[in-house]
Amino acid sequence: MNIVAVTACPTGIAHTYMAAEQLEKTAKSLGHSIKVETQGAMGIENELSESDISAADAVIFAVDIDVEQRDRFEGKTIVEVPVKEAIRNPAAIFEKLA
Amino acid sequence: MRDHAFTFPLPNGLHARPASQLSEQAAAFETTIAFHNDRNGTSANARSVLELVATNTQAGDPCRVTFDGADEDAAHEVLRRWIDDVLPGCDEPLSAAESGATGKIPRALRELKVERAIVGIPVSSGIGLGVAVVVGREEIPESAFPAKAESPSDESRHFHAVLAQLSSEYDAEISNAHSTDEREIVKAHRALLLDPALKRRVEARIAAGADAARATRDTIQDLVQELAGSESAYLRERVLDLRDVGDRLVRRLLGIEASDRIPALTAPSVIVADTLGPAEFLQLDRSLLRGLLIGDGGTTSHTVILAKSFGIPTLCGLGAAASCIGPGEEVVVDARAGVAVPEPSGAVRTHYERRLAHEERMAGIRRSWIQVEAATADNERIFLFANISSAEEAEAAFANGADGIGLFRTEMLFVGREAPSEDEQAAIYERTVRAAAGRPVTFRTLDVGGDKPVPGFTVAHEENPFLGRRGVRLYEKHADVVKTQLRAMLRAAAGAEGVKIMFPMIACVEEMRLCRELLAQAAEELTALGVEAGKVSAGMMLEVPAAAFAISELAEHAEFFSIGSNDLAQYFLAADRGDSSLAALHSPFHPSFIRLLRQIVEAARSADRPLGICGGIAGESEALALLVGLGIRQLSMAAPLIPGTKASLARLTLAACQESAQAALECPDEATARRAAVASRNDTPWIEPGLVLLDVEAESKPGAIRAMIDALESAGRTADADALEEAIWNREDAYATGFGNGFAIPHAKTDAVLSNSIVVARLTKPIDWGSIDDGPVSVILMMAVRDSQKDAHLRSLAKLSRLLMRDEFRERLAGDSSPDSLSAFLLESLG
Repeated sequence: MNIVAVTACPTGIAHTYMAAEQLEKTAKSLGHSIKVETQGAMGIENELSESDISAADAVIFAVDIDVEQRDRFEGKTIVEVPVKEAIRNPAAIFEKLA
Repeated sequence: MRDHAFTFPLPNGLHARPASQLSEQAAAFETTIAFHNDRNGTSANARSVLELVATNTQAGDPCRVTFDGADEDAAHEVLRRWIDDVLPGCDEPLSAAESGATGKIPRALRELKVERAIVGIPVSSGIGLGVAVVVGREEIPESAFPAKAESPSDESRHFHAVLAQLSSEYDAEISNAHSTDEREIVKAHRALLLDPALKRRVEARIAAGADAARATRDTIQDLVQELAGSESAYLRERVLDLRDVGDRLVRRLLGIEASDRIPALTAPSVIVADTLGPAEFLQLDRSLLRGLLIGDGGTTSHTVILAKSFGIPTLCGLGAAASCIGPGEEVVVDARAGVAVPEPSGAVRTHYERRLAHEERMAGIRRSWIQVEAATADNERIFLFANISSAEEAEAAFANGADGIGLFRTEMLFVGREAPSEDEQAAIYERTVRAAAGRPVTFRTLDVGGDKPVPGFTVAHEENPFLGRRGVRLYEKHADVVKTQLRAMLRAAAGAEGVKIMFPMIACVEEMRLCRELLAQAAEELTALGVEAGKVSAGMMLEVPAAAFAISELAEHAEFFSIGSNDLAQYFLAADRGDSSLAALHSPFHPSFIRLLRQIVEAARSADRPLGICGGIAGESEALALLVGLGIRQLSMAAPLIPGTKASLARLTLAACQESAQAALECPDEATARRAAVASRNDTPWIEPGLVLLDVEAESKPGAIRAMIDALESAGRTADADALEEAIWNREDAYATGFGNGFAIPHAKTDAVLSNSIVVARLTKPIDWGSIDDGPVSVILMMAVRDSQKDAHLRSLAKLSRLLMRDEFRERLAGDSSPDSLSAFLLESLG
């Protein structure tokens, strides 16, 4: 599967990146390709382009705060979970995508 | 008959200190001088402190002083000027009157849910643990008084003899006082003792047949009641002073020992008392005194001022709550949080034992810096001097590790009194020079006017006092006063080295020439009398912007320069330093001001003259790198700041300081320049071996967090540990940072941390953290970054966060048992 994801937490210095790492690691082990955009204290990094999004089979939001530029994802089915779910049990999120 | 009407200016009303000053002024004249309060219709003899205080005069009251008698014109002239010029300034709180404590219960303590905590008003900071010693009220028993009075003339003679004897005892205590605060308070007590109203009322009772002791006791009781009924809390607090004086006087009249209600302490103790007089406080053995819990007494009582100046943790205003602490109970006085905890047990006890151990460690760290030479990490020597205004402070400054005295504000010897004599001044200056033992001492000559009026010297009504006749601008007219001072300084310099004389408010070469002329005359006058004039170097303050552009010419007459940054900024930015609404403008971080400093540094360097700075900015930790980076090597500040400044300097390199000064010079505005000025701290590595805590014993999350905050404080990485703790908890409150596998990462973005930091703690036994996997936590990685952060630093943290998701990384954190190698490993991982 071709997946895009966004992670964002309140302080934006730790959990955002821990969640991104977990999603990338798990996707790889499951044989998916994934691109994770982080919205943290440094702003948006690894930004998802329009073509990234339109080419995606699935979208994951692992967020505790509002996603910036959410309108980019209009028309997509989004699986949205709290950040800590992505850290604790990322595999369960991928199960929901199926 | 003359009179002078005015509106009463002091916010605390007419209390004992201004009243005693007014009565001193009035005492110099023969004429009858009366004080009238036209709001409440009361009047007083202006020579009586007690009558003045009893007029219940509040700020804003319409008042009059009337003069009737032989020298009424002269008295009118002097008192009118005193009332207009000096009175408004004579309510300066004694140094420690305001509370330094936060009064905020720290999170670690809140989480413990202490059951028996007594809340009071913290008036001096610190934590103390000791056995409660309850001091009850002790009245003199009726049986101690004589059965019947002697003849009124005998009783009166007895009364006056005892009064004279006590007065000379007070004199001795004044000259032996350990601090300025102590001396001022004993002086106020002597004024109460010698008050004409007290004498008159006692005489009246004796004439009516009472014995001297009863007459005094009853008079004091009446006066106490009058004060206690006052509308001003400040005046009510003066009751303590009156009781102290009265008790001593009555006992002496009866020939009985001084009160023994103040016990001899035998173990570390906490004194619990409804009321405690300042003289009683001074009787306590301070080596065993760990805390004070006072039922009454507000934050401005003299007892509280003394307690603070001796660093005794104190809570007041406990009311009846104080009485529920029994003698012999162990009690914690936490004057940081504003609580007293009797019989602490279990977790509370552990908490306080750790707090005390930490405070002791911090005190040890402070002490360890005292003997260290102030220098940057790469050994650029910086001289740290102290700003003082009395000889006693010089002794305290050297005890704090000062390299010298950078500024002795001599005007404090003149404000609110008659000019001190040459001998009196010489004694004070000699004592200072003696304390310095060869280290430099810079005496600044009289700098009054502006906000510091001195009667008979400064000008009463000026349109713009700060732009008017102040500092050196008064010297031509008052050459005699200045020369008296210079002679006293030259005498103090005889046989000593390092004595410097500094002239204030110099704007141009003409003024500096005048000062040199006065100095030369003073030396000649001494020589003519056969008195030795010591060798001094003469220099000047740089506080008028014009002088900054005449340094090469001024250097012909000035052997050194010292920047007075507060006035320099006020004049340069045209912003009144006393107006808090202009504080943003009156900031030394404006790039324009920093450029002015650079111009001064360069000009002083090419004139080959030493340059120092003695204004407020010299003690600001945020400005340290900037000043060193600009090339200033002498900083003069309040003495208690010296050990901490040495510690901060040791973490800076000269290159980093120069870089941040250069960056600040190029900034467009104050905010960015301020940030650039502290940026050099960000070169401090994230972690050091001292921040790797193995085998931490903590029963709970609050204890573990506090242990890590303590480590940051010990490492000098936070100046506000409580604020840092609060920031960490704010994040935990959103949701706990335990992320599973026994790990937690508490973190915060806050300027309460001075440089970006990581702390690792491994616990001896796992504790609950509210983790997302509900499991206990045994490894904690705390991350604290400054608020205004470069992305590069945040990127390091992002990298670290990702690494934490890897098993082998966590295994290393949980297993490596060498702080050195773990610290190096983390630094490497951060990239």
